[in-house]
Amino acid sequence: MYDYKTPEGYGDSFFVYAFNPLDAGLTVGNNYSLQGIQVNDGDFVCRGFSGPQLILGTTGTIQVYDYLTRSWFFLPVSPLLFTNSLTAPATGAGLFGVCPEKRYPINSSIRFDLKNVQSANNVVGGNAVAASQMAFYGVRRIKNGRDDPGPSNYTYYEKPFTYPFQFGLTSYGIPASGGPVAGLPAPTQYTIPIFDYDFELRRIEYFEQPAPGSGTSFIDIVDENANGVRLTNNVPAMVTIEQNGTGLINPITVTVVGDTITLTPFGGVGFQSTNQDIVNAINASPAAAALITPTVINSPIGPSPFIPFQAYTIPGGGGTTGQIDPSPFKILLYDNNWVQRSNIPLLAELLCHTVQDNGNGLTNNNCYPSPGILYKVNSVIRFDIFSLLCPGESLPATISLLFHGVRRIKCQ
Amino acid sequence: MKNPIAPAITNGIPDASPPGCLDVSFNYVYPISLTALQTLTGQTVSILPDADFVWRGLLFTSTGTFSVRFQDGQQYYISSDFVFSQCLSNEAGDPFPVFPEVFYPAGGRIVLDIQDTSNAGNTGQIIFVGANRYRLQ
Repeated sequence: MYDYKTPEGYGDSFFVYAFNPLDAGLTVGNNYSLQGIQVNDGDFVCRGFSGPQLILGTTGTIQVYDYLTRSWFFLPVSPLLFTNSLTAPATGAGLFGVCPEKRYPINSSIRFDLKNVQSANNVVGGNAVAASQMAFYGVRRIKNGRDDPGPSNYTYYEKPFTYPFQFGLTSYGIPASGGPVAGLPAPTQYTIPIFDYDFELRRIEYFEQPAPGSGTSFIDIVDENANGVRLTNNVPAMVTIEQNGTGLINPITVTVVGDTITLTPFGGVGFQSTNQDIVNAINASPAAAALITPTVINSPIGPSPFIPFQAYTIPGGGGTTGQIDPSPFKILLYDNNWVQRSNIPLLAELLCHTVQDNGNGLTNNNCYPSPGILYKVNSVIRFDIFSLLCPGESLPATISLLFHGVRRIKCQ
Repeated sequence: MKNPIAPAITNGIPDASPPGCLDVSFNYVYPISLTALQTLTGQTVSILPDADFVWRGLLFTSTGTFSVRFQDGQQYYISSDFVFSQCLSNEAGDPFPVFPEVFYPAGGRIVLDIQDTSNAGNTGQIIFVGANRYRLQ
């Protein structure tokens, strides 16, 4: 096979155009025709795409068009093609290649039809943070523009080299209890100095190390005989439990609003609730059970009715330990000249590789900065990180990034 | 190779259109709809009349296993028997290669026989990954 040749007089640089359905104002569950991403600043040569499984439901379909609105597929295709499982949706099936490549002229649009828009989310309890995106990979082609990987000012040979970097995600994404919402939290910007020799980036790897739980936090609601209920907080946030009314008569109704649990007794005449009745009522409510774990405390004297109360607060508790999200963050990568290499921040799984099993299949969409990106000596690898952690996960989550490529060692 | 560790597709593949032709990537789709253990023969996907089609890779998604065999553009089978879906690829990043490419003339058809082996209703899609080959005037 012959090497690819960029047309004479043009420069190709790695670029990704991505699309977020929620940020585009799309509503989950609906169908949309001819949605688009505008191509700016130069032509875009598309060589692959990935991520329909993250923005569509399993019964959805996608059709993509070229700049003249000619379809890529004979019929709209299922997002399940982009998963790595025979029957179940999962992330990480890889990059769907477009061969021959398709060119989108400057100011044209990458158009597509979406059926049954859904949003992949990072979820803890009743909260969700949107982690849905689709990406088109290729090169930005500009007349007399820079050509990746750029040249060095000296003769060299190549040696494998990696810049490892570790940081902590200390905040959450934008959560919503009624479903994910658009938007991103404020980013944190990082830079990695390039030293000694020019560095050509060819692959990015990440690994998420979730924080352990921040300890156990509970309260005991007991009577004078030490009979009662222990309520253990499952989440880092403070949880409030309150009683609506003066007595507790079966059956108890449990309602949850945010981090507040309300116990409402039966309005008529009945039996007074026992400790076990309270535990059963809380456990019967998934939302309440996600926030607290109730257990009965019986003293040697024997069980007794649960004592009425007004309200208690339970300090922040254990949080979710060990949860690994397919994309715990979004990343906006810049090159040597601080030019961003995607139109919007990209999901970690759509730019980086990982060998980590996130419980939903390996996250590996097979994306490479291709052509590689050159960072000259004494420049920096600059990137912005946007947390997509969901409230309920312990902080900080430690992210290890590897910027892998080659050093251009100067020949003597 | 501008990034030797990346798939060739992301580095760019030179135009392989034959002289007097222009290849434009395109993918034909066959919708799978089978009842338990059903066999369908002579299923067709019609090739549009505006361009020949060269078939270069295969992908599928389905709710269960099946087996299938295909005919080329001259209606010759290209396998001696049905091929199990477990032997084919259902990952977008790793299509089952069809090499050398199989040619279907404009206005022709892709003919296939397919049978369910899951013993349950089976739906999905088979994607014929390839290119439309336009003849330049």
